[in-house]
Amino acid sequence: MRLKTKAFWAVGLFGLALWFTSAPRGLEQASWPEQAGDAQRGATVFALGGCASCHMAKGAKGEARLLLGGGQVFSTPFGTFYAPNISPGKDGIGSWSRFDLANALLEGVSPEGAHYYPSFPYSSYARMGTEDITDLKAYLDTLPVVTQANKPHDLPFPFNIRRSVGFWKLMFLRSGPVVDSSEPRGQYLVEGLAHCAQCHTPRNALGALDTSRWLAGAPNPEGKGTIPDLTPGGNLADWSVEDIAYYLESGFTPEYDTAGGTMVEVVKNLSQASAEDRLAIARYLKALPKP
Amino acid sequence: MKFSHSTIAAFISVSIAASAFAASHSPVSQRQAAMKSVGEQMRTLGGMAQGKVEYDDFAAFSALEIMRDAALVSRPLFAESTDTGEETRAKAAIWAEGSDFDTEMEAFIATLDVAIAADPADLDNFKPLFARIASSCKSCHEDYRAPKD
Repeated sequence: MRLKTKAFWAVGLFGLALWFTSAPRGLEQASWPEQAGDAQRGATVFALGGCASCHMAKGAKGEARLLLGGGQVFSTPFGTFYAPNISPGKDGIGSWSRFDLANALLEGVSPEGAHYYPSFPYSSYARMGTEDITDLKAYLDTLPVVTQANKPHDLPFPFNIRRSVGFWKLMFLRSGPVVDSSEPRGQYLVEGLAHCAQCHTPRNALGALDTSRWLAGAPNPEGKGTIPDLTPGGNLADWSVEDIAYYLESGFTPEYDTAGGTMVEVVKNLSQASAEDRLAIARYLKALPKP
Repeated sequence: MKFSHSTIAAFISVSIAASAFAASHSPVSQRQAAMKSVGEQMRTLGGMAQGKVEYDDFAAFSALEIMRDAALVSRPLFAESTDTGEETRAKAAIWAEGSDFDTEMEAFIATLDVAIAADPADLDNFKPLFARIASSCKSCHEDYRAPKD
């Protein structure tokens, strides 16, 4: 009997400890600025962040790329994720404050205080600046409302327990720089906002980016083939800074082959960025430490 | 000037096209050779558009003609699905119901015709024509060419 009581308390305390360590931790509301952002600047943030690539309907073109009703399917080793509606309507994030958006992007926490799954790349967005987030919010508010309810993710146990993401975050969610770089703007874009590493860096068994092989190429999550290695000595070894910037703008390699796969969308987004931002990305990549 | 461009370039392009395509056999390898030729001309034109190489109106005109000839050669080679077991990045969507592949191809050739007819004398005249050709390449590849392994 005594033993049973002890065991009861041990399990109970352990459970309590798990409960607290896995709890979603959001930002402090008081630390968030009041002023509204600049929607025009936000359009650039939106393009650099590649938001449309996942939140528009699959294969959308032209104006339809701004209809962010969600629904795209992402099959992963952890289950199937469905992109949510982020249009400014009631099915989307119309009721969100700037603070809510910041909490989602920086901490992966919903306005209801639940964890988002890291299929939403907040492990990169966590490096975003306050101004970019407020500008992005102002821009998102100008987009068309899409009426389309969210589809719940289809995940097996234990990944269907959102609290499990809390432990993942403790282990892997960081907002500091990944490598030493003398190119701060390029670093901000590649490591943060443009989240290049989400495809170009291999993942560990728990689906987190393996920072020891930063941008060193990875298996293609969408099937066969590999995502290119961007480190010196990798697939860009013979490319100049200008070649990379031109590719990001035009979609043409130095051989005048066209970009393929998901990179087509990335180029569409980055072609809307400034020439200086594309050069900054290129300079950061060329200056990466050898893996 | 214009007359000499056309004659010389036509001669060059016909001989290059003949040598490039006659050597290969199956429709798949023939259209791959044709597309490779398109890519090579894009490299010449792109270098000039980017300002890496000084603009040369004759070189541009010749490249455009070779590209158009290669496109004309390749178009019928895509006419029907050719499952010869050869490696190809041509997507099945080309032959699927509702495909606008042939319209894309037609538009590509028309864009080249416009550029050839314009015979751009300088870089400023050439650049917008090049941009249209480039976006034509991409728009078709996006839907109808599979990414590299």
